[in-house]
Amino acid sequence: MLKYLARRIFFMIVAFFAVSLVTFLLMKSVPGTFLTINMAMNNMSSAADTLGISDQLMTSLTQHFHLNSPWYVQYWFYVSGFLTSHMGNSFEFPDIPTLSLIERTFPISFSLAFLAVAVSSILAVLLGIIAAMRENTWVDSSTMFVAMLGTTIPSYLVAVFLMLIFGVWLHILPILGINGPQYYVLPVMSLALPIVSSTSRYMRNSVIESLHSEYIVTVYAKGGSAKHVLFGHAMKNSLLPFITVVGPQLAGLMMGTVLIESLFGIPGMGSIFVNAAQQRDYPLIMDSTLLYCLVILLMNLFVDLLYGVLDPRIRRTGYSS
Amino acid sequence: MKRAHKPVKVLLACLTAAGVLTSFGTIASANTSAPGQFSMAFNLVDNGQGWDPALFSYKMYADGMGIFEGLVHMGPNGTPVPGIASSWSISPNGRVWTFRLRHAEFSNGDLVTAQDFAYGITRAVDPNTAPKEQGNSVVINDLPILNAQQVRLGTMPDSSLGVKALNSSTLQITLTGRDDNFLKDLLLPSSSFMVPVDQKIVEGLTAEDWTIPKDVVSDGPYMLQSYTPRSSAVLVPNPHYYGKVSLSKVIFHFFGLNPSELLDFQSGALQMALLQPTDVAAVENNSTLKSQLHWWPASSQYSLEVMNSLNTTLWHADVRKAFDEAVDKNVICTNVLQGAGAPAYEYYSPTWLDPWITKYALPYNPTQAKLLLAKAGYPGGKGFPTVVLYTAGVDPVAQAIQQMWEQTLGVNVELKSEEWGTFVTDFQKQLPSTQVGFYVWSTNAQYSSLMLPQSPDNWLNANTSAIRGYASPYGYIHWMKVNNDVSMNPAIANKLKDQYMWNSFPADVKQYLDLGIKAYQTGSKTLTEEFFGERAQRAYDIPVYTPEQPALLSSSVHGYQQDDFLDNLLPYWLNNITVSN
Amino acid sequence: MIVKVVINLEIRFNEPALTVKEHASRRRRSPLWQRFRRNKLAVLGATIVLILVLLAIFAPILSPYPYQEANFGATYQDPSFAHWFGTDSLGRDMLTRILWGMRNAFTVGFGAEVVELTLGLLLGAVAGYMGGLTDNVLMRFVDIVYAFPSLLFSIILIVLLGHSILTILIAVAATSWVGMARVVRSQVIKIRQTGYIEAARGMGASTWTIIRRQVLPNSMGPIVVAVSFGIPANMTIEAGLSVLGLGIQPPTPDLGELIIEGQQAVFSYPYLLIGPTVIFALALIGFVFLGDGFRDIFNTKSKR
Repeated sequence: MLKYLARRIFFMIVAFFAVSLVTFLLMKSVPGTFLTINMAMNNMSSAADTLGISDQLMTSLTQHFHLNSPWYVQYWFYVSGFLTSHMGNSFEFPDIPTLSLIERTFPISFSLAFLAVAVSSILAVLLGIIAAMRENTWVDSSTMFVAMLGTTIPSYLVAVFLMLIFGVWLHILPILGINGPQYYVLPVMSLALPIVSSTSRYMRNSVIESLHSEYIVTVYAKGGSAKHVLFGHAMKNSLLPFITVVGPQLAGLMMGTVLIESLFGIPGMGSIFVNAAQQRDYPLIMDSTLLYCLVILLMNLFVDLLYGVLDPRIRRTGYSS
Repeated sequence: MKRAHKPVKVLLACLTAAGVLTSFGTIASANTSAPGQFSMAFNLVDNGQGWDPALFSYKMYADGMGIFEGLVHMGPNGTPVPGIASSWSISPNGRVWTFRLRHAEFSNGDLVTAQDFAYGITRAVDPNTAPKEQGNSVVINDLPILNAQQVRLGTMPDSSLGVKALNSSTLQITLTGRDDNFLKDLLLPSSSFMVPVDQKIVEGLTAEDWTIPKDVVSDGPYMLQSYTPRSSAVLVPNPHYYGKVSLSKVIFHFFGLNPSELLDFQSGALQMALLQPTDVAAVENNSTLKSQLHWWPASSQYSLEVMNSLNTTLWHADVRKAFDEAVDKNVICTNVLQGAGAPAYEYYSPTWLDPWITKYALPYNPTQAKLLLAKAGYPGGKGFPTVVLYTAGVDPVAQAIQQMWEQTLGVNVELKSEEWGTFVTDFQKQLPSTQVGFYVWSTNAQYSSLMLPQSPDNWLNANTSAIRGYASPYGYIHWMKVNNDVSMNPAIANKLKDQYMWNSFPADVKQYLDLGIKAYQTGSKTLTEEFFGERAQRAYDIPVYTPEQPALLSSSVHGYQQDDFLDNLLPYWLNNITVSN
Repeated sequence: MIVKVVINLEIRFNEPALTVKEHASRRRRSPLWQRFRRNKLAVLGATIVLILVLLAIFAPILSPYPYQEANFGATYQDPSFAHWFGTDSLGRDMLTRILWGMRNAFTVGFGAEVVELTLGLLLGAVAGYMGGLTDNVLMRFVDIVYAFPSLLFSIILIVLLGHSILTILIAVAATSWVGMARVVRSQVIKIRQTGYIEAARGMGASTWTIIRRQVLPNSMGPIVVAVSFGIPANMTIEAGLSVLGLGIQPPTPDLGELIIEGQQAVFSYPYLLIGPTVIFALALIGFVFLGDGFRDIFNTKSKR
């Protein structure tokens, strides 16, 4: 097990550097630099450009971020900065270190994604079990249909409707900002509802399969009730693969909260990140990508270990994927 | 246990679905907010810079609304009234203004002195302030303060600036010439730097400190309580303010991608919301909302500027006029923008500010347009090079213009809707000989006298994007080379760039710019109007519309005076606003 | 929203697809098509997809107006006889734009799926078949691609390559192909665990023949299911990209962009949203039913 862990961590380091290198090279090859964009945006201040001041800024930024050095120097500058958490300041927020920007926004995006996955998982498990227990009846079809409707409507549309119903008509939930627990309800629901469908169908099929397995017949034969079958055996078997489904969902959602964040005016990492890409804010792009990559790798590791904990077969035969 | 929940679950699901599907009916409006509290969306992008009034940033405008107070501020009647200055006197030649300051305190209790004023203004003009904080310097051209330009250029020391503290309660400002409108000019958005800062505090602040509310010491009626970058800021009354503070709390929301301000307004989260053109019909169908709808003009003209190209077909005025007269600006404003725009006739002159510009306006005349194009040698658009039209993001107006040109003139128009970063790179490039092109551009206009060219260098650097198409292909290549060379000394680089451009303009463009310089030197109103009028008549660019911003202002809000010089129509002075309930 | 629909097939602890018992069972003898036919939802799904695909293919012929032609006298019109789905801000016919939007969405959806399939088959088959070090290295490579933030990758790719349909197709495929590789690989491994490959080897068949004759045909099931879930996933990703302004270059219609424009105008002109959303939803539903149907016919354990 320890050997496995060691191999995984080594691999994570390799993956981390690979992702960072590719991001960096891609980022540098994209047209436009922060300075040209910045100067164009501050068109009003172009009178200040007259007097060469922004050019001074340009020179100082160029020096500070080694923008004229060979690519490997620049690359190492970012990566070593990230690893030692001396990440320097963002281009776009020159007075704010990227670290504090990320500190402020990452927890929000992460909690949104996490809550969304949690809520959708609970709903999915419930719906899936209901459908599986009443397989092929109208309950089955209608629950699955309703769940599926969620998938076919994008989250930003769901968000707008939820805002309309609960924020405007019923006026019971806030729709702007993130100043307390009630502010989380609508954004989380907008993110959760569209993903309920696939997980609930998955849960349904998985439970059905377990219910039809031969060993279940044994349980019934031994005198076990439906509840016993369900909680004692079927769910355990279904939950295991379920975890591997939930992991990627969480990962995908973390960056996918951009639209929801902008609709609800939430200061999350998604919008900061998208803006960084559009502004060619190299420090912010690199730092948020590296952070994201790290989180994904850690999560994969965690899921795999969890897998081993839950499934004794894997523990015995080794962790080969 | 599960049996009981099943039908309830399904029923709930169906109800929600039904509710969603019938949601297109009337929309309710609710407006609940704490008494005296005012919440608005700040639609300029939060560029993350601190609240330092000496740096150019969009938060500089917020500072000017009530966090920092200068000599005068906007009064309830739309004219300047005493602020920190309780009275003033003007010298006989109109060049020296002496202001007497009242007893006022900063938010930390320190006294506001004339020395603080001098210090604050000087540091804003000083060229070293901005690079130290990795920011951009404020614009100083709009105020005719003695030696300001020279200090900024570094050719004269800070002490020569025409701003002096005679004693701790008297401030003397010397101008370069008589300016009877000086007080009005102090209310311009770009004048937000003319405020005092607490010298002993500010000298010890780093750039990052300016983003932390408790470190920002200000003298206005409001002070910063909290600030979340890119998200929101909260202002509360300054306990040491000399006068009455009208609002108990001010909340700014910074918006990004897809603003949903209509919903926010209806839910009561905002008392002032700027609408998209697509929201207008919904608001007009709702009587409660309609009574709170306002149409506020802005001062930037959405225009099409000529791109530089090896092909100089667009140097012929007739060709450009043809393109201008083929655009039906009224249809764009009424139909495409749903009324959120008014036709514009000149790049720098919004019609509401400069009504005389209509004398020089080119009309919408498709027949004439076709004739002009034929006269220039391209009947029916045959033989005309491909026209490229660059814009950023999804732009229905650009799409409309593309259609109008293709339908009326018969030319082939390629629309390029690009991502912002790519747009900013592409609009500066030189097109090949098979293409001519335009890019979408705009600028915030000021009083016309303030926008005249004072000298070739001065005007060119600030307005390159309004004239680059007229540099000769050869001259422009040199310009681009210098522009992209980051290792060159900035002052030298700018001088070179100006030379390349100015020397390569065709004669008519040089004549037009000379007219502007003469207008500035003589101060003649006639010449000023002629200068801007000539740009319109010769279609040096194609202005399309001035935004006419639909806005919802809650009926419980009084005293909101929108600043028409800012596209997001911020209020001039927060302390004139009251919120009743 | 850019969340990939999860392809949830590779994690199963079942026996391989063909056991001796099932070979002999009567269920195995009935053709897959008959089993498919009995699943009404699957048939419905197939019909929907077929109709929409035909509409998309014949969009140029079926459209009553050119999709970019503006008619300024008829902006923001409600649905009428002249314009079944109304008109937009430039007076362009919405029915035409929806048809073309669907056409472009399907092009990206199917096209990206083809790319993903190719890459996935190649990588997955090789990794699964070779096993050992090759497998390990390739799978680590797959894990690296997974760890990459797909949103950033798409943004950068599109900004770099421009917004034509082809580049968007590539951007979508570039982030989703790894799922397919995993599916293929797990199937190949399963097949390897049966005796068939050994037997074929023993008889002297070459690697390529084995892959062609034994591995691929027997893996078809889960791959088909993955494809039918992958296409709507690609369409959703592409719609999400348009929302960020990275969709197909206007004025070419793009379903995602039509949806976002509709959402912005939903309170004033609801018909602008209903049309594209319903079509998009139908397409997704159709594929989902289809995919479910495929999964059921390849799943020998459900009660039928």
